[in-house]
This record gives sequence, structure tokens and C-alpha cells, in this order.
Amino acid sequence: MAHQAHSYHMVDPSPWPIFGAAAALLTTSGLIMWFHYNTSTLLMAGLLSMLLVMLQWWRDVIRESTFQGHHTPTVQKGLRYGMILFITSEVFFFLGFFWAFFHSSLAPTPELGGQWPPTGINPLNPLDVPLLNTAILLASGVTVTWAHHSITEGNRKQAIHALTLTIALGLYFTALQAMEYHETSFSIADSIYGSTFFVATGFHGLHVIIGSSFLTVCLLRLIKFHFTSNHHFGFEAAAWYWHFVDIVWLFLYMSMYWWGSC
Amino acid sequence: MWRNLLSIRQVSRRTISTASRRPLENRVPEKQKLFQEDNGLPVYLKGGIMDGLLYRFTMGLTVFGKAHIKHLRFSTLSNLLRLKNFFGTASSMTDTVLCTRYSFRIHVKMLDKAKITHKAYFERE
Repeated sequence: MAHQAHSYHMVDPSPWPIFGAAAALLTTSGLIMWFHYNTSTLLMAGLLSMLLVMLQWWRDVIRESTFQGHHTPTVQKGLRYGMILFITSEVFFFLGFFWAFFHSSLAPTPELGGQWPPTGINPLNPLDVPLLNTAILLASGVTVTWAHHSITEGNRKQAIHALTLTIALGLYFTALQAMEYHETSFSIADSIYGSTFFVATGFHGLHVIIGSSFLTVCLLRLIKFHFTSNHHFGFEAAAWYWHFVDIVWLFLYMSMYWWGSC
Repeated sequence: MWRNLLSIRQVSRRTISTASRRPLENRVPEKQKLFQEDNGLPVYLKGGIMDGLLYRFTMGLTVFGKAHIKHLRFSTLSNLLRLKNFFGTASSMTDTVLCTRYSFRIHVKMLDKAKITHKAYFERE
């Protein structure tokens, strides 16, 4: 059998890209059917197929790297570039929502009472649960760094403890934020204030859930001895994503919760 | 009597635990052997029978979904434009062509109507 004379990874043909595209089509069409015709079968099929594709695709990446050894330093470099570019694209995604917020809040229209927050809106107290949430995410940034240091030092038990604590803090944030959503006196339909607040914080919450899921997969892999002290890129990617989620929250807190409530 | 007392003390100090003492074993070498076996299988099927079942289930779901969309697209579009009774077509291809032509005609009509009601908007400099 001929061996490759380069350090790149020529992947096996895979059905997941085309199935993923089909799943995206099912999900978007399903959303339309749910919105306009009050039927959720297609949407459920779409979400389920998306989940299956993600599970199997990423399972295969783990097989190719940890079990087959295809992730050479060259391949890892490409993955690093890829993750950085992806996070950058997510930064731009949030930039749009911050643009919308500042567009409306820096020059509030007469329809809003010429003020921000608009007349009749009672914003959340930024020194209450939102401040606790800030502390939680900052602490989780510390614990994920602790986990990383434990991995590089080969300290398995400490790494598991630190990563578990990080995930627990993420879940705590999500639970508190869900309670806060329930407590607000305004809804998404309450003028541009409600729209910008819930869309921006809502997408952030979704990213916290995605980040927590990513970290949970890393915890399972850590327990199963997948990571070595000098090769654990999956964990690093999850940690980068988690720091990004933390920083987005800090901007959300400073602009929408704090400045936006004065 | 002293010996009895001492043995009771030793028993009371013995750690009682129901937790499993077996540490989780590193099974990565076994997985490495399985996935590096030269059997010609692609990585998405190399793990065993479950891989094939999961693959077939995923494929079935996406293909069923796509077929469902195709069925919905024609029935929904034609219902929306009420073409089924009007044209009485048998083929879904003709439906699409007719739907496209009809919706274009509606579009032009709507634009004409807009020009009448919003004269000022269309005549502005």
C-alpha cells in the first residue's frame, strides 16, 4: 500500500456534508411550516437530522485524530486557523446586534418618548442577577484556564475537577438567565428595546449552551484518556469558544444592562 | 477483654465504602487497533454494526424529509394561488411553471395598484 508523502489529511469520502445540507433544508422549511401552518413534523425531522449529522461527523473527527493519528502538527495548524476564523465570524454576527442596539439607543425616536430606556420600560437592575452572571462567567474563565494548565501538567484528577466546575458554572448562568427572562416586565414585542435586548441576549444564551455542550464533550474525552499533555486541541478550541462567549457577555452587560438602563 | 476492645476499635475505624474501586481504564489503544484495521471500511462505518444502522437512519430521515418538502411545495403553492381547480393539471412540473407565470402576473398587477394608491411616492423627484 502506498504511503502519503505529505503531512496533510486526505479524509475518507463522507456522507455528512450532504446530509447536513439536507438537514438544514428540512429545518428551515420546517420552521416555515410551523410558523404558517402550525405543524411541527418537518421541523422535528430537521432538528433531529441536524443533531444526528453533528454527532456522527464530530465522532468521525475524533476517530480520525485520536484513534487513527491523522492530526499531524500541520493538520492541527489548519484546525487552529479554522477555529479562529469561525470565532471571528461569530464576532461579526454579534456586532450586527450591537449595531442595532446602538442605532436605536443613541438617538431614541419620539415614538419611544425620546429617551432610552423608552417610556414605560422598566429595565432589569444591572447590580442584581446580571452582576452575579458576570461574576459566574468570569470565574468560569478562570476554571477553564485551570483545567488547561492541569492537562498540560498531566494532572488528570485536577483537570477533571476544573472542567466539571467550568461546566457547572455555565449551567448555573443558563439557569439564572432563564429565571431573569421570566422576571422581566417587558417582552420581545415591547418596542425596539425588547427586540434588541432579547435577540442579543438570547443568541448569547444559545452560545453559552453550545459552549457548555462543547466543554461537556471535552470532559467525557478527558475522562476517557483522549487528551495528552501536549496534544489536546479539541479542549483548546472549546476553551477559546468559552472565552469568546464570556467576552460577548461583558460587552452585553456594559452596553445593554448597565449603560442601557440609565 | 483488652483485645476485644482493641478489635472493636479497629473495626470501627475500618473505612466502609460501597463505591467501585476499579479506576476507569484507558481503552484508547483498543480503539486505535479497531480503527486502524486494514478492512477497507470508511471511518463512518468502521466502528461496528451501530455505525451502519445510524447511517441508514440518518439517510432515511433526510430523504423522507426532502420527499415531504417536495410534496408540500406543490400542494401548498397551488393551494395558495388556488390553481388546482382553475387549471386542473395532472403534472407537478406544469403546476410549477403555471404557478411561476401566475405569480409573476399577480406581481405586476400589485405594482400597478401600488402606483395608483401611492401616486405621490412614485411621482416624487
